[in-house]
Amino acid sequence: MNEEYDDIDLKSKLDAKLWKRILKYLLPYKKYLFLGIAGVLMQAFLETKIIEFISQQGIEKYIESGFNGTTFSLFVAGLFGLIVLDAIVSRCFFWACSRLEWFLYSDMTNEVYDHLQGLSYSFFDKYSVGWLMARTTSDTSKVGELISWGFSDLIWCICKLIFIFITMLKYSVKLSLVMAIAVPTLVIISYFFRKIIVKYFWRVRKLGSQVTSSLNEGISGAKTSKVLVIEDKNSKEFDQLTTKYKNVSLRRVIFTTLYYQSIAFLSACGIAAMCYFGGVSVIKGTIEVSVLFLFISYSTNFFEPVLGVARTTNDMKHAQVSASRICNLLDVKTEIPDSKEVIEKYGTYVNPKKENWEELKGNVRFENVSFKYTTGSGRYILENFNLNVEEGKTIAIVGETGAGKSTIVNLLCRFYEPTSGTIYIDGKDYKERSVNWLHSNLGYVMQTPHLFSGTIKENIRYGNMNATDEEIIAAAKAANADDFINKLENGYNTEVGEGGNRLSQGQKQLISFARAIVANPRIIVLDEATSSIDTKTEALIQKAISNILKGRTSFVIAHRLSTIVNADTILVIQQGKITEEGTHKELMKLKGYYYKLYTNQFIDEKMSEMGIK
Amino acid sequence: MNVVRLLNKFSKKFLWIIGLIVGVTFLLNYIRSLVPLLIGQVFSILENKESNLPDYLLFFFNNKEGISAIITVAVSILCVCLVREIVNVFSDFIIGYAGESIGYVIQNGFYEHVQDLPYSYLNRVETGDLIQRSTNDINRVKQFYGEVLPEMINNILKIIIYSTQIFMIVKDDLAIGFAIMGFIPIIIVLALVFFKGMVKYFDAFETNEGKVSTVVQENLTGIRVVKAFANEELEIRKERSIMNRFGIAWKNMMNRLTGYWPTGDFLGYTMLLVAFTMGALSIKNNILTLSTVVSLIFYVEYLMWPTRMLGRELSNLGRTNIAAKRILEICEMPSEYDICNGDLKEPIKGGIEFKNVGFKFDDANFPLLKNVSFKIEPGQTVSIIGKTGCGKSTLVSLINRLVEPTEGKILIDGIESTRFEKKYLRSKIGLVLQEPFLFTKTIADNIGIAQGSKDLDVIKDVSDIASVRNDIERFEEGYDTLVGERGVTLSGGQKQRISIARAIVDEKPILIFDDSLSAVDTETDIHIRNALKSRKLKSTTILITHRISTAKDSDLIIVLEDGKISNIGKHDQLIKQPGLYKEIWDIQSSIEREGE
Repeated sequence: MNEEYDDIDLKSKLDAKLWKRILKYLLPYKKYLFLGIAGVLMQAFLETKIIEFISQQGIEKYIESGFNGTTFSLFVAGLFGLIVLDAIVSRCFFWACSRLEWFLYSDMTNEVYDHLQGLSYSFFDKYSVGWLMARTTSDTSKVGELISWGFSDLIWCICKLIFIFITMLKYSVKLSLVMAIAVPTLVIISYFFRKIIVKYFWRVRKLGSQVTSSLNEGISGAKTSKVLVIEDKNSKEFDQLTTKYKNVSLRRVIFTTLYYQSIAFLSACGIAAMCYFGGVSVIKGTIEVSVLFLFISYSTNFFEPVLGVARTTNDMKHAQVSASRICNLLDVKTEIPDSKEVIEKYGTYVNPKKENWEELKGNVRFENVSFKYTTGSGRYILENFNLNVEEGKTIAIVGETGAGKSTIVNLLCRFYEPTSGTIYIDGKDYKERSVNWLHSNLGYVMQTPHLFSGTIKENIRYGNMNATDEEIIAAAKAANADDFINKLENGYNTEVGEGGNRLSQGQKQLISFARAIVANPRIIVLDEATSSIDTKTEALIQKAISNILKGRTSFVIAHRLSTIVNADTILVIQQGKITEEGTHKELMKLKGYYYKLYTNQFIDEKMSEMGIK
Repeated sequence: MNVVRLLNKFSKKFLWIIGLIVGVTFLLNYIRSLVPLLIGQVFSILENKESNLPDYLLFFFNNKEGISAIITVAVSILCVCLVREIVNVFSDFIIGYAGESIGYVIQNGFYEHVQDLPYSYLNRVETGDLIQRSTNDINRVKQFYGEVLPEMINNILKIIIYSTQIFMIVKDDLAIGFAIMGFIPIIIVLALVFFKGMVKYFDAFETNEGKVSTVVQENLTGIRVVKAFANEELEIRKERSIMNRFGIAWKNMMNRLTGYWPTGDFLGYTMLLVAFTMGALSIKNNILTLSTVVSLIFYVEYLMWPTRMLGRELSNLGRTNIAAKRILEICEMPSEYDICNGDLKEPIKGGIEFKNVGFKFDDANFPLLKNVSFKIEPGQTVSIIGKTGCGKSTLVSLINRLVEPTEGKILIDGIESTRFEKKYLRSKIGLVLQEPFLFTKTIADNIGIAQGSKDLDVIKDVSDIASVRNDIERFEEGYDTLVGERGVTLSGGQKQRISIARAIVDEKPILIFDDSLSAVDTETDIHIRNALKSRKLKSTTILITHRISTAKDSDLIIVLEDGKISNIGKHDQLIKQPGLYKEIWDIQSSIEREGE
């Protein structure tokens, strides 16, 4: 997964355009923005004041120049009031920030998610789910967090520095200037160490994820390791990795502590300088004892905001990287857009104009269709492909992995469009109708069935959101799924678990059949599973398949003999071309590829039936 | 406490290191506690009042007053802080070292131990659960020893040392000390109670966050289904509703947290105000000096943070303890090499004999294998045929001691197999499992993994035998092609043939194919078997198969039904007797004849 930031990314300059775009997300929430900024300003101000009152005014008025009971009580009560006010103000500020974080995160996630729904299938072929997940969830939450909290942190630090400095100037210009010397020194130290520490931070992260994946592999491959007697070798390799991790982490610890300790020592220098210069000034009578105390107090409070500025600017860099990854994703355009005229007539997927949709009959014609991926080697996967399929016929496609079988159905489904040539549906180029129109009339059953979390009923209804419960049960019956569903404790209301993992592979397949049947499509595309399933389920599946194909134009990437033999036409695809075409009988006579495939497959299926394979 | 038991299990020396950490942290915090006293010293010089410094520091101020005394304070602060920083670097180093070492030892121990667990356990266990333990639980424990525990030690010592110092300097007005100390348990208990109560909100937050990512992930993995059924709009509605629920969980959690943080600040500042007020009154009554109150105020500021953190850390202990328990559960299972491992390392020729062997899984009611007896001479080829679940795989895993017979004996070259050292025995037997597993390495490294040497000629040679050489060389990077998630996706057949090449990379006296040849087509099957025969060393070869064409050339065919040998002999004999073998033969030969 491409989750790591590279060092290169972080070196990037400030991107003003990007920030403008990100800050636009905050615009609808002016109320919270105002409350947050006002709150953080007030907080920095109150904190500075509380210290000033206790250290300077309190000592000056009530300890140095004699004690006055009544005003002292008032003074203490006033201070307590400030403390309460500070708590209230921080509460408002925290609250506003947490809301802003949520708005940023959820708005961005929703927008990215919606955008992804509109992208064409080829996009999802190029990027892994992990890669997309990182952008849809982690990057958005990072931007939300870093911008709301990091930004307010930055404001707090800067304001506090300013307030403290203004207060100091009021009491002693000389001591203020002495203190101010610390700032550039701090910035230099900070800059020097941060660079090293950030470098180690990413190295540790990277090694850490390597350790995790190596650990996982050791677990998944434990049986194989035992058989190959490579346990010791594995452990040694793992040890090398963890030793490296340990050493790099330790180096990071050393640099980090050196950094913090030099800052701490600089702060100690500040305190010592205040004691010396302040002490001397008190002896000379230029300042009061209380002022000295105030400066010493501030000198311990002065360094945190300076460090905070260094930290938050770094955070902002991270936010920028995440934000740019999100924006790049939002800028991707769909590769298969409907033309303006098509949209006008057929509508979009969010707002379809179903009243203008023609009925689909199911005549399909490929005319000189060639296809290659826009990226990659540039080799044609499919070349000058011609095929005419009449309404209601079944086409079985056989051939080796990578021969181009799935390309044919991907083109038919308009997941991809031909590089050249035309695909006609009911005699009309399918580009002249909307993608949504085609998909609404299409049923697609994948090789590995994909179910969604939810109940069985919800999963079947996925094929047709308007289906009644009766229609769902009828579809399940046609898919031979009704029996096993009724045997489950909660019947149709059984939860299938994440990705359907509470059901067996065979059960998932039957449900995905029912889902396709309930959609009642005119064209059906079926990618048969290769993995063998127990004999009983296998018989159910075979019957279900013949039910699905009945009366529909069907394209089957076939592995089962029963499906292949019953097809109207069998296509043997080798290296992007049809090498054999005809019915089962015709092809057997050829004694070519199909003949060999058939005999092998026949033995395998017979043996599975006997329970030997 | 499981966290302590876990540490004890892996290495006792860490208990010493933790002792050392306590010692150094104590020293460090004592030095830290001198700074407020030195700051106070400035005021006692200016006001000419009694000092709170310990005698060894007061020594430097003998006979000094005015500016020279002030200079001494400044220099003392610099010196004390320099020592403080040095000790701090040292203690951070020890803490880092201990944390990393403990994490390292636990992680390695866990990894090694999983490798050494019995085969039967690994066969049964859910990989997902083990991976969960290896990542989340181990990380939690690592974080505990590396960060949380030293922080807790630090915070506890801070509270103890600073409180002691406070009592020392306010000894003339102990009420102040007690008033301030009163806040500490309140703040700790408040944090503890608060974070305990937060557990359910944190959990709700995490669950809902998980749900959002499940919805997104399911949508992205199933995008083909979404598009094929034109359900984009529905998917958007689904995401929105789950996002709204996450929003509620988020707000519930944040509302409480944003209420808590300011409360902590509030209590801290109030503590400061109490110190100031009581200090001012005490100065008025001529009990304490300004110098003492100044030091006191600094101590109170120093106490604010550790007190709040300690409560939070304590509330998290429970979860770490559960994580430690889950790791211990795995690590306390006995390693298979500790249970009756043999010590014999004699050369093996390849003779195998089963004498009345029976096998039953611990948790099963019925034995899987009953009374199995047969004899294989070195160099012979034997086929085993039988229905799914009849015990074929178990039978072959008995030979290399992945599982041990519950009855009877297995002899290798006439010697009882239990006398052989397990790893030695396995290294002489090439077993190709039914489900091929390849490691995230290059193809060459995968093939050469058991041998250590990476002689490309040997690797090419065995790839040839396993009929996968052409496939490999067609890849752009050939033998250096990376396998797995980040590399190429191999077909099932390719994986299987690579795992065959891997098993035969060094010549072994015994080779076992657990239904692994039947995953390749008939012609490749024949090619592989012929190539193996033409090797220098004639290995004893055992094939689990469902193809008569594979079985028929064998020196011996074993037909296994319901855990018992139902028939045994050569092809010519078996086809003359009624039974499973004949049935299979009839079907398979009829198809071949149909083709002719």
